[in-house]
This record gives sequence, C-alpha cells and structure tokens, in this order.
Amino acid sequence: MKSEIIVVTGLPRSGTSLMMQILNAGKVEILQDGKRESDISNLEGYFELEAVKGIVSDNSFLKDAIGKAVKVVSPLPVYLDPKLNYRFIFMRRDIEEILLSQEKMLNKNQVSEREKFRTIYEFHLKKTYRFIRENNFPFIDVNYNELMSSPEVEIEKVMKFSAIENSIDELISVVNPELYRNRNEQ
Amino acid sequence: MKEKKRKVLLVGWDAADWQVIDKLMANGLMPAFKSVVDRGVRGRLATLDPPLSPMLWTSMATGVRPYKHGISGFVENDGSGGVRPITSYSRKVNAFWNIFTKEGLKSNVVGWWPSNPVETINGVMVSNRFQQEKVGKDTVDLKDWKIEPGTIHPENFVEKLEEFRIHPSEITGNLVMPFVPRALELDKKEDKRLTVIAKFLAHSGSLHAVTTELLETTEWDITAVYHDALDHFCHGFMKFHPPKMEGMEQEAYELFKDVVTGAYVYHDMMLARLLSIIDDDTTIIICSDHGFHSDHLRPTKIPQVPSGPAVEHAPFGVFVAAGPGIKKGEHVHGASILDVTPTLLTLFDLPIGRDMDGKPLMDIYETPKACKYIESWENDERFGGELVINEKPDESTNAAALQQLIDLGYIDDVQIKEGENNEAVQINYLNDVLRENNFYMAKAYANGHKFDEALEILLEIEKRDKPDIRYLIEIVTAAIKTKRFPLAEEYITFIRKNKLAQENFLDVLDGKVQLGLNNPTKALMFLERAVENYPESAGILVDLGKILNTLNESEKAKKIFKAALTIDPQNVYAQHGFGLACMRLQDYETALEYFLNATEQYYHYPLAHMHLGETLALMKEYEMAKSSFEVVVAIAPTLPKAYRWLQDLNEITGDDEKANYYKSIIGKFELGERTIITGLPGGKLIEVMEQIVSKGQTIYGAKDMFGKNLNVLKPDWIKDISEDIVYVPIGMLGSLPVKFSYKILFVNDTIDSVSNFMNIENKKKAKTYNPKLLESLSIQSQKSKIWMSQQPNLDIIYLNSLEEIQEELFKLFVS
Repeated sequence: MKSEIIVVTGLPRSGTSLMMQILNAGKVEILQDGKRESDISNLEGYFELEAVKGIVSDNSFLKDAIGKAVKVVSPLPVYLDPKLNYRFIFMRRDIEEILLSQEKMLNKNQVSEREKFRTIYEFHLKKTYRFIRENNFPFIDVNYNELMSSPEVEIEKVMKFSAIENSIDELISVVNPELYRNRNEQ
Repeated sequence: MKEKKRKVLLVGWDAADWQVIDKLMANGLMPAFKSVVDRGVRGRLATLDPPLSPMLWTSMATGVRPYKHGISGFVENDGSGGVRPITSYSRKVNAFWNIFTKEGLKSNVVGWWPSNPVETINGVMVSNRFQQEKVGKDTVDLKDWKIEPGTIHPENFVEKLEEFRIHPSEITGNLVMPFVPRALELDKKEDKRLTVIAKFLAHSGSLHAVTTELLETTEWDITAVYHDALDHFCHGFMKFHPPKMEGMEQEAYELFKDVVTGAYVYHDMMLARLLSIIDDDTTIIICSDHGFHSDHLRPTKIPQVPSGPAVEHAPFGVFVAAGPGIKKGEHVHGASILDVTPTLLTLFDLPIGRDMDGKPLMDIYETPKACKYIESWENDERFGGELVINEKPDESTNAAALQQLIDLGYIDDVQIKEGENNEAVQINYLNDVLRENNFYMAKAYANGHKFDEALEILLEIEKRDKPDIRYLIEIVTAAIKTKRFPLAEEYITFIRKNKLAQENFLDVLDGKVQLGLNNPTKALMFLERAVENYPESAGILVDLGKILNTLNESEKAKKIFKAALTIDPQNVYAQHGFGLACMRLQDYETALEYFLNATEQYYHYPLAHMHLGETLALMKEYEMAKSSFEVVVAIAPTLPKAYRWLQDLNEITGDDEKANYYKSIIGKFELGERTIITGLPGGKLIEVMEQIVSKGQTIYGAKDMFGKNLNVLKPDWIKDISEDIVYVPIGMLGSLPVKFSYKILFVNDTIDSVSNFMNIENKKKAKTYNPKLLESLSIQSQKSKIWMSQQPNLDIIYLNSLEEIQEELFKLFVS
C-alpha cells in the first residue's frame, strides 16, 4: 500500500470531496495544497491539489503522491503515469443529481444543455473506467447515494480497500447527512 | 529463367473524375490514359469523409482511416502558438514507402501531400514543398529561389533536382493559350486567373520533371508521384466548364470553358511521357482521392466556411491498373481509397496489416493470388526511414504554404481589427483552427462508423456562444446514429430557437429523431414537409423512403425511392431502399436487381449485401445467398444476423461443419432465446394470454395492448424483462433485438373481434365500425407476417383457435 497512490475519482459533485474527508479521518495521508477553500458547496473543504488541473501537460506531482491519497476528477485519471501503482476509489452518483448539483453550484440553469452534459459525463466515466481496466489497477465503486443512506456498508468497503484501521464510527461521523442536500431539490 | 522484377509506377491525380475522363477519352483527347484503361482494369475509388486531400492521400498511402494515421486537415499546431501547413510529423503510422524500405525495396516518392519534411527512406523522396516559390505572401524571384531544408532526401540529390523546378515566371503566355485561347483579351494585371493557371502549370511541371528524371536515372521498385493541379484547376474553373451553368455570364464562360479540358489533356500528356519511360514489366496504377462534380450537381454557391470548396468534390475517384498479371478490359467494383496500399503490398507479395482499414483489390489479377496477413506493420521494428531533422521548418516557407491554403479557400486568414489585441487574436485564431481540425477528425470517426468517438469530440468542441451549424448538425447526426434521441432533440431545439438553420432542413433531422423516439407519425410529417420543400433533393427523398421502409409502407417507399433515383440514378442508398421495399413486397427479382446495383457501386455497404443475401435465400438460391452473407461477415463482422443466416443456409445445403462453425460464432453474440406472443389486439389474444397465465407462465405486457410501456429504443431492451413470455404488439416486432433468437406465437383473430375490442377500449358504442383503422390493422398484420417470414432468427407458430393451446405442438413451443 505504501508504494501505491490512492486516487479518488468520479464526476465533479459526485462526492469525491466527501471521500477525501473519510480517508482523512481514516489517517490516510492526503496530497492537497489547501488552495481551494471550503465554501457553501463543500462546507468541509475540497481536499484538492491545484497541480492536478495541469495534469495534461505536467503530471510530475505524482511522485509526491506515493503512499498518499489524491483527488483526480474524471476524466483526468487518463493522464496519470500508468507506470506508477494506483488504487482507485470511484465515486458514483445518480447523474440527474450530479447535473442538478452542478447547476446549483454554478448558479446556472442548464436545462437546455442537460443531455449534452449527461452525454459528456457518460464519455468521461467510460474513459476513466477504460484506463483503469486496461492497466489492471485495483478499484472500488462507491455509490454516493448508498454512502449517505447506509454508510456502514460503503465505509467498510473503503476501509478494507484502503487498509484503514480506525474505528468505523469515526469515519461514519464524517458522513454528514446535511451534505446530502441536492437530491429532490429544484 | 529468372523472374522479371516487379516494378510499380503509381500516379496520383487529385480530383480526377471518370465523368470528365470518359468524355475526353471518347473524343480522343486522352490517348495515354485510354491506352492504360484498354490494357488494364478500371474502377471507382470511394472517397472518405471529410474529403480533404491531405487526409485522403495519407489514407491512400497508409491503408488506414484518419483517426489512425493522425493527419487532420490542412494545418497543424506548430508548437509555438501558431499554425503551420500539415507536415509529416503528424503522421503516426507507416506509409507504403516505409514498409518498402523495411523490405529493402527502393521507392521514389514525389510531391505526396503531406510529405514534408521528407524521410530517410530507401530511395528518393521529394516533398510537397519542392515546387513552392513563395516566401510569405511574396513570390521569390527565380534567381533567389532556394530549396528549403527537409524537401529532398537524400541530401546529395538537392543540387541535381532543384534544377528541375519550373518557376511560374517561366510559364509564358503561349503555354497558357491552350487553356485560355483568348488570353490576350484579358488584362493580366487585373485578372489573376491567368497567373493562377501559370502557377498550376509550373507546380505540376516541376513535379513531372523530377519524376521523369528519377524514373530514368535511379534504380527503383516503386515510383509514386502526386499532382494536386487538377483539383486546383477544377476549383478555379469547373464553373466555366460546359454545359454552361445557369446564371454564368456568357463572356466569362466563353473565355474559360476550355480550362478544365486543357488541364486533363495536359495531365494526359505528362502521363504519355511517363509511359514512354517505363517498360512492359512495370505495373502502372493511376488513382484519385475523390471526383469533382462536372454536371448538374455542381454547387452554385461555395459555403463560406473553412474547407467550403470541398462541396464541389464528388464521392468517387478513379482507379486504373495495368501491367503484367493484371486483367484487361475489366471493371473493379467496390474499391476505396483505403485499398490502394493493401493492393500495392500484394503486388510485391507482401503481407497486409490486419489493422489496415482497406482491403487488397484481388480482383485485378488474372490468376487468383493468395493474400498474406500480419497483425500490424507498426510492430515491425526494422528501419523504415525517419524524418530528416527539421522540427521547425523555415517560418517563411510555412507562411507561404499557409497563404496558398488561404488563397484556395481551405482555411480562413487571421483577421485583426483595429484596436484588437494582436496576441489574443492569434490565440483565438489558433484555437479556431485546431477546433476545426478536431471537427475533421470527428467527421473521420463518423465516416468510420465510430459515432461515439465522433460525438465525444464534437461535444467538447461545440460552443453555445459561438455556434457553428456544421458542428451542431454533425452532433445531431451522431446522436441519432448512437440512438441518443433526446440529445439530438435538445440540439435541434437549440438550432431552431437560434434560427441557425432553415426550418425545412431541420425537418429532415427531426424526422429521424421522432422515428427514434417512437413517434412515427410525427416523423413522417416532418419528412413529408421536407420533401415538399426540397422536392429535388435525392438525399431527403432517401430519408423519407427509409422511414417509409421502417414503417413497412413499402409501396409508398418504392415511389419515393424511384423519385430519388430519377434525380440521382447512381444513389446507392436509393437503390438499396428501393430493393428493400420490393423485397418486402415479395418482388424478389426486382429487389435483386437493385441490391446488385447498390453493392456493385458501393462494395462496403453491409446492409445492401445482407438484403441481397436475404433475397437470394428467399429465392432459394442458397449458394449465392451464402456468398453474400460471407461478404457481410467479412466487412461487418459484428452483425449477428449474417452468421445466423449462414448457419441456416449451411444446414439447408447439408454443410454441417460450416453450420456448426457459424453456430459457435452466434453463441458468442447471442443472448439467448425468448418467447414472444403477438397478434391483432382483440379478444382472442387476451383469452390466449389468460389461458397461458392460468397454466403458470408469466407474460410481460399482457395488459399493455399497444406497447406503451415497452422501451424498444434501449439496446437489447428485452434483456431486462424476466417474464417467461413477452407480449409485443405486431407493429413493434421489427424492434426485437437481433442478438436473441425468438419463438413467436402469433394469434390470428377476426376483424369483427378486433373491432369489438377497439370499441371497448375507446369507449365507443358496440358495432361502431372504423373501417380505416381496421384496414390499417389488417395491413399491419399482413406486413408483420411477411417480415417474420424473412427473418432467420424466428420460429413462428400461428394460433387460430383457443383449443389449439391444448395441442402438444403448442405446449412444446411455449415450454
């Protein structure tokens, strides 16, 4: 596990920040720079690394990520150096909820482009999965909706996958039902 | 006796078109070309979309589609914030000259587009910049004209070959006169058209001179030369070519009507010279990447968009081959520009890469020849030549070549308005150019039937604040092809709302979308309206015909396809559609004729071969049917239906070994067998279903008589249904996914019974009679029976009375 990088991936607004908080609570070292501060959309912070945004032209930050967890939203994982070792935690969330959540965050009504974004995200997910499968990297899918409704099952899966030895309760406390907010909104 | 050495001369004429050539040959104006045709084979080469020359000639030289070879459009990113004309750097795969180098064969390659910088191949390479006489927008004087680095390999040929270039200033008025006999009447300073002709002659003359020199003075196995002049001549002057186009000024017509003919004659003269050099043991191949409309299909307006002039291109180029072992006086059918390199390989008995998209044209040989294959030439690590080191060609040469592309209308020039930030404008320009290249690549994916890949690119490059209707239309088309109908509908709504295209035009697309969304009546309404607005568009008629075929309106479909064929007799889709309508009407003789026409013209058309095979099978011509289905599995190996037919036909003809072989393949595709119940909606159908349920079987959709809850748009939709039997209304039988086998229980009922049922459903009085509705149901029932009889994956049992469900046969069938 020490030679591996835990990559938390998924579409933006699929619970990737929440997963980073869970890993943080599980004492997994996080590679982040704290540049993106918490806001109304992510009260507990984003746990992001600015350098990830430039991964297309420069993925040298990966050498600092070994033995740590880093958030790389889909489809950027395809630009990871395939020679390194990774374990992927793939956050999944109902696409309708993701679209609504993004619209809310951007304060933008994108009803007229919803099919466009739905299709783009479908491609992003496919691309990321293809990269993971073609390189035989271990991965788990974590369903955001199930994580919120029955955190025990999903968190146990994450703990096993990420070799976290804390008590499960500490991690469950991270899952704040208040955050599960965008569903049924609109 | 020592076998004579095989030599090949490959001559590429951009945009050469049979329609013009045949007329000129008939009038004795192209004797050299005719001599090759007479002693060899001829055929049409299907082009690719987009029909842009650097992409096409690279496909020709590699045997693969653009998304594999990497050449996209006319320009590329120069890596330092600008664009440059497309170079060899962008090509990702071996061209034939690399393969021949690996095999120790010597190649001379002249003027291929793109081939700058040249590669260190075994032989001589002269790039497409060789004849360039400009620096930026300025023409260099003859005395200062130098060969730029990266233009010629090997280096020691530079001094010798540069002398063969002809500068446009060396083209005197006398040389232009054959093209424009009344040239003296024109003001040369005011009218640039004579200068342009001089330039085309100088460029092609330079390439011709260097080719003849290499043919005569070097040792070679293959010599390949590419001329772009015909394409340029045609873009400039085809509008003046006879017959006179409507609206063309008489004076201009009289002045320039001979230019295109002159250009062809000039090329024929160059060809005559080449033929005089080569010996009888040399195989000659002449080909073009696309044709050029020279008749009523000439566009009256050129769209003001990048690559707009490409609308003048016709979809088929020429192919002629003659030489030892090549058939004489025969036609080659179904060839594509992708087939040139695989065919060249077979001439030298070299294997074809399985990753090549083209196929070898084995029909050209007098005696059948075995074809060898390897996985890929890309895995062959032997030296095939490398690019001469010249990562950044001279900027001034770049600018000149760019200017050439701008002049020809292939790319836009950068426009800096007063007060604008120069750097920002340059960045935007670069982004726009690269966006356009991505668009071409998306089109190439779509042309290779990789619509998901196309859509992925298109959705990324589409900008709502800077909409480009070409991109939007391509998105709608790809969305339709991938059955993403809501996405297509979203874009059509956007286009309509922003008035980006004519409503009439959108009707065509909306028709397809509505059909996909299972609204056939709405679809028909859109398409009929479109035909009303564009009665002379064969394409729209074909779309309407296709919908009518889908709706099993075969008589109407026939009429519409006939109208399309009156406008465009060569339209393969109309031929196929007409054939399909005839097949549905059980007129197999006529269907056969039309399917044969379609496949003869466009070999890579799996559906036409499939329907040809089905027609032959229905005519009990089993062996011929098998051959057709074998073609289908060869060109479209993912269509399970063809394997199913091959299994059935081999069983019928007693070839168990083959039948088992195809059965094993079907096993890989097939998702299993399902039982379907169908029939006219009415009392008997309901009673039968109730009886079946009472015996412990489950039926999906038994209460949904009109199939409102069946999601037939979802791929393999039936997979999600777990009930023993599925009720499918007769009108939806055509939506049964092909990956399953089916047992179909068809309940026959009387019209009276159906009428009663409909009255109850619609809360109408008993005995109310709606003759139109009942007639339509009756026709639907007949059509579905014909359709079922023509499918290979169905076993059908017809049930006439309720008692029959007690019979053993029925029990066996349903269990």
